[in-house]
Amino acid sequence: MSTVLVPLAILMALVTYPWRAVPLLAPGMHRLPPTAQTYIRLVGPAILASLAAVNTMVVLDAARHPSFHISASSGSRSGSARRSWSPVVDSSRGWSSRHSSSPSSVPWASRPCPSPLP
Amino acid sequence: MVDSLGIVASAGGFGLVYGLSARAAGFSPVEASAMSLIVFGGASQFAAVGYVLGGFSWAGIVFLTAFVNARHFLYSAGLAPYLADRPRWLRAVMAHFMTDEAFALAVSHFRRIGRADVPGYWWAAIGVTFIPWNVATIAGVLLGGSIPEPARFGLDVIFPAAMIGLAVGLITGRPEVVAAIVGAVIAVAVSLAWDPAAGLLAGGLLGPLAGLATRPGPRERRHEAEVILGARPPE
Repeated sequence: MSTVLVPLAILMALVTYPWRAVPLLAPGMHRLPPTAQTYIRLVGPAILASLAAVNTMVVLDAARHPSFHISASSGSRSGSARRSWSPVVDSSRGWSSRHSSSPSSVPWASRPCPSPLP
Repeated sequence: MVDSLGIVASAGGFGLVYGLSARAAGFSPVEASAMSLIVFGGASQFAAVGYVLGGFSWAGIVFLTAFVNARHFLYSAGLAPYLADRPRWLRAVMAHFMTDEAFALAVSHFRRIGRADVPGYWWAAIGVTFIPWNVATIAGVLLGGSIPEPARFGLDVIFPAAMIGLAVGLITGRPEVVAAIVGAVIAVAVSLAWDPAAGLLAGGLLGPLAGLATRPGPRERRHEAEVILGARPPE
């Protein structure tokens, strides 16, 4: 069983712990300027929204060339062919989804796409 | 107690989704559980799954993790006045379990009773958050491992859906909405023009600047002062 990413988890914890501990252990250290405090508060939503947007709208082909799609993929590593989600109209059931191993086969702009998210 | 039950359900649900996402991204059960035990930061763990999928270097992942988790500084600062007279070693241990949920439960409890309540903090941080999150992670990663083709069941949309869910959970006003939308637009644009890794970095760092330029409404300013910055210290 792979443990390759365990050191990464430790490194991630090492950069997280000071944020959690410094104000508790060193009183007065938390007095950042209000602008810095607000910036810190806004970083979380911005990064998470960026991840969601890039994950659903940008697809890499085998040569890592990005293209714009409405897609969702989490089951394959970068560099390999990624599956893309595209909505198709099923006359009996309305919108449904299909998977394609060729991201470029489904140009996003060719038909209107609802959000693939629940 | 009702708040606790809601957070148990939320931590359990997101923990399960994290386990499924991590498994789908190729994490082993040990790696996924190590993240939940050692990092114990849901948003950064989900982000790490995306970064690993995106082919980020470890240095890039660690750098962005520091940014994603920087908000814990504010939570810790909010609880610091209540815990100032507690032993240093105890505060050092408490710090590891500081999460959005633990802060939300603890600060409202401390304010209600007008003093620190260390057992109450442990209940919020470990009983309500840490244990459900880790148990659900293990369940998710084991369940994910038993599904041969996650995409067939639509499980490949879990990751972006979870990202959106977490982002919405962090949104408390107009500046957050603007930061999220502008960050997403910048991320996609830079990803298409250059590289997804650079796009994520640009969106995460530049989006908040747009949020800073947005004026919060009066109610949001009051909420900000009360919840984030102004935990009332004990009398």
